[in-house]
Amino acid sequence: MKNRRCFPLIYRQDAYLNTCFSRRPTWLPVLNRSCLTVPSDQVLTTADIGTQIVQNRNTQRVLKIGVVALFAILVGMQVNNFPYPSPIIKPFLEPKYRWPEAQVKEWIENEDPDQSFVDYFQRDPERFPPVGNNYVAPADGEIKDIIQEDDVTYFVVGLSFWDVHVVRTPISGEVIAVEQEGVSIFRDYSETAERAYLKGKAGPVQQIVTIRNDRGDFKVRLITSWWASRLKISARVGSFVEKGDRIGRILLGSSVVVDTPEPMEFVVEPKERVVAGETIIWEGPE
Amino acid sequence: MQILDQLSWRLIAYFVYACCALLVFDYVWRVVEMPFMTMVATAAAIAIAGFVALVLLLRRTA
Repeated sequence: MKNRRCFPLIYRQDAYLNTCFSRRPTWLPVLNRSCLTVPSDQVLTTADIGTQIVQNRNTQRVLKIGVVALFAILVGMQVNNFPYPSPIIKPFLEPKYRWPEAQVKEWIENEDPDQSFVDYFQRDPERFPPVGNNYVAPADGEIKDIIQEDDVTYFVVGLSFWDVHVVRTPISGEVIAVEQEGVSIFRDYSETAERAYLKGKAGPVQQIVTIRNDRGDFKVRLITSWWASRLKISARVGSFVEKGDRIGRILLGSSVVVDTPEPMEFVVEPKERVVAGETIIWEGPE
Repeated sequence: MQILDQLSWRLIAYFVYACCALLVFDYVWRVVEMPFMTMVATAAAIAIAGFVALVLLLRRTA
């Protein structure tokens, strides 16, 4: 009986053919008889077997189908998700592009948000308020306006869908009131238009947290639009809050406004981006 | 099966290049925040310019 060597086994040719290959489907390239094309006196190496498997016609067919199918699926996902990004490129995009505004609004209207967006939206990172005689931003976002009106300065921060929606106190002090003003108060849109901090908002809902320090009463207004009237306040009346502490959360929505008890000059300008609890918005003498 | 045998790897490679180009196009379009048709026109202009530059380069080196 003639022996043949085939990596990694040394086997008897007839026994091998009868017991191994003859019962296996020939269309499986790895298992067919291609490794037997080398002359019997030649020792088969791993490279030989690899080359023969890759060059095999069936292997080539399987590889071609695989590559074409893979990229066809990829194109299909692109087309299926258009104009929104497909899952293939989502991980490479910034949050703002990963979940475009139009898509987020669509989810809110259908009340069926994407879970990955919800997880991202609900994040609550730690913040480290700066030491010193200063006040910090109440929320993440862009400063929409700083308005002086009737001895009050309104500091308006606009939040986008991709900002952290946890609201923090800009000052240290005692919480003396938590009030709510709802849609019913602002039925007449002309009334809302008169208020500096409600510019361009139709039927907003707001929760007002009043915090008292040695300068007077500061009001932090959490404002959201009528279609997302969900505000959560965690601050309790009578409790003492440190600068940068969490006082509430806007579950979806629009602005945070700080009313100061007296006209104030801030060190930041409108259109600048601020980070809640960390960006200094007012700095006093040491 | 015959179609698969006739389908060359070169053709498959072109298909793969096109898919990758589509992905890159999609990514860039989103990041630069350009209107879709403007982006298509820009990409086409870049592709044509690149092709012409390549042809000129090849002719010069030949």
